[in-house]
Amino acid sequence: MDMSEKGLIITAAPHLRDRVATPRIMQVVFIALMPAALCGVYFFGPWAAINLVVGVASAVLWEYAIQKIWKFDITISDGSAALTGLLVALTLPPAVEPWVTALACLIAIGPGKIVFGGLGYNIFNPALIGRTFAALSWPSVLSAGYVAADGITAWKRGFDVVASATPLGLLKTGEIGATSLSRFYGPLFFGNVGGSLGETSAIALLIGALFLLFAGIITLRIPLVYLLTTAGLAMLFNQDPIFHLLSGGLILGAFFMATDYVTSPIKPAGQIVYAVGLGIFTFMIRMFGSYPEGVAFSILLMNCFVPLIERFGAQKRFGEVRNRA
Amino acid sequence: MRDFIRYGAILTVICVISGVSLAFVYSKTSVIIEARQAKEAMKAMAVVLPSATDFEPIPAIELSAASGGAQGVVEAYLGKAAGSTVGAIVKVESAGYGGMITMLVGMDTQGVCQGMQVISQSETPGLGANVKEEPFYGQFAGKKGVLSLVKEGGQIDGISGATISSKGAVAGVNKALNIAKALLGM
Amino acid sequence: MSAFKEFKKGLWAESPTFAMLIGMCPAMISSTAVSNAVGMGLAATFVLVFSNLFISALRNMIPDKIRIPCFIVVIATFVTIVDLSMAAYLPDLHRILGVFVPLIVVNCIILARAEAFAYKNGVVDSIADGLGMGLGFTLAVIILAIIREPIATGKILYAKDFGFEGIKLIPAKFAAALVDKPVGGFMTLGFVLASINGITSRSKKAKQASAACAAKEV
Repeated sequence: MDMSEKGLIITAAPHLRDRVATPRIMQVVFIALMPAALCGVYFFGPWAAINLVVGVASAVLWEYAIQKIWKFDITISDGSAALTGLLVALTLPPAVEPWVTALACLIAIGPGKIVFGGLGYNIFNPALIGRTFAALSWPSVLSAGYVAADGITAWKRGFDVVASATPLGLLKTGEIGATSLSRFYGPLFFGNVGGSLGETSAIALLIGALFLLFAGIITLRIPLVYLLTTAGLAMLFNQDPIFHLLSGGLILGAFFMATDYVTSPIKPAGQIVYAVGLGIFTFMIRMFGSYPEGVAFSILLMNCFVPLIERFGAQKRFGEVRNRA
Repeated sequence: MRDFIRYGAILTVICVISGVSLAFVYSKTSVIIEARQAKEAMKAMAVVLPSATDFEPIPAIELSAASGGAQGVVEAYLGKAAGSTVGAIVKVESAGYGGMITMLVGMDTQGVCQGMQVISQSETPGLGANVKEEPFYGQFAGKKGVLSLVKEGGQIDGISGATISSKGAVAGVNKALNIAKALLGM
Repeated sequence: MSAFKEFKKGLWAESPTFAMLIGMCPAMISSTAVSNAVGMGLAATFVLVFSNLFISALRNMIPDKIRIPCFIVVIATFVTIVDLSMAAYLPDLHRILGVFVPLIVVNCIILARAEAFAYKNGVVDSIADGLGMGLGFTLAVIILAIIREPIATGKILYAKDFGFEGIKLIPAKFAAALVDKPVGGFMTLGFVLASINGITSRSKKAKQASAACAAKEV
């Protein structure tokens, strides 16, 4: 019996991609994000639901359209486009006008993924490319999309929204102090606080992250080092470390985006360097940058360094003589 | 050694020709450039103090006495019309979100703000940078007294999502109005 | 005839922006609006033509060892002339292009043409080369600007100096500010290059296929 008939493909090392398992991994991550997505929908009202649907649907549609026009293989069935769309919606403000979500998905799928050659070849996290493009292109539309997390009241209001600042935004504008922010712990933990659609509820994200850990999709190394670095720097700069851990997109980014197989290092030592870099950039942008939140930027920045990180400590190929250049 | 002198001589000749031609162009254009710059400065001042036709710079010593040691005061002018003083213009810097916001503020002799223009700023594009747009700066004309943002119970609508930039601009205007009052002896 | 060939190559086949990928910094800043692109392109063309003319004319007098300082002095002279004239007669354009006009001095297109062409060729050919390269640069930045300006600002052909308010294409609300930044410029350049490569490789393939067919028939 021919090997290829059984779906076995034998190639030379390194074995980076696993086509067969890709749809399953995407499904598991998608499911793991559901608690956070549902929390967002509950707290932020109908606009959040619309944005989630628009994100997932438009990402799949864009991928289909682009691949159809350029006569590429259509890969929407691997589920990565749907996941990208979900992540874009989760990282954008809950009540942002849906055209922003749709265009952010176009940028995520097109320039973020397909131009590099599709899934597995992209340098940057596609969802964050889309989100960052939107954040830098339509800043006023995005800032109007941050609304109060009122739960049932938000649903009763329907499509009318009440604008609300994010805790990190308040910290940046100096409206709240840097220490003893314990009154925010509860809201930040459960999610009834202003912020992006999927980032506000720490408990929902952690449930999803636990699910991913037990399913064996991610390891703890990158998220843990990332969180510890950020918390450590917060203590060093006399900030409230728990506040910094719970606020913004740190948990979402650490567990669901920094662990992306394609755009993070493979070797353990490299993963630690990568995660420390993430923590430093995130905290520095929060402290000294002109934006309140730095998770998206820091993941994109560290994505650039992944090839460089991978080169350090690369194993000697058999018979290779090191260049003494 | 001979090469050395030859190279030097060639470079010198080229530089002299270049210098002479530049001096010629400069003499032709500098008049126009200066006139234009002066006109532009006048235009900005006329916007913030429309009643004045003439602007008289205030000496630095007098200005620093009037500002009472306040930081970020750049320059000031007295606005005149038909020989009498109709108001004062103060150029100040105030800390915004991304750096200093430099603005020109005009006030008449009644202590009413006549207008504000942002000369330079480095605020976030699309958010804080809107301090230089008409909906924001247009609010200052006709206001009197110590100004503050609506959300602090004042008269100026801040830019949503850019509280620090709005506050910085308002603080700058207040500073400028105070100095203008001192300059006009009010 | 050869002068015409030198002129033509710079427009497209050896376009400094699309084929040689040099002078990226001025290309990014000036392609934010069509009017800026025209202004910057013509300013660079002016400098390029005259620097090529003078360097070619003086090429036998300029010793090899000090050629670079000589090039720079000649280029800087013309850049300063452009800068001063622009400040005097086109102040709004001058304000937008700002520091990039003096920086034409270090625009590598100009030094590259001085070094690679004008220093080795005759005056007529050098002028043709400078004109072709300059207009090639202008054409390239105009193409980039035609794409970037409407996406970044919602309107096209906005030119304050000539009292032209621009044509509205999309509502200002949808305008993507990032395209106005160098990031957006490089993304646009990437897409334009990809399209050019796609079209040329397709037409080359078609040519090869028809050539193969013809060969078979013979």
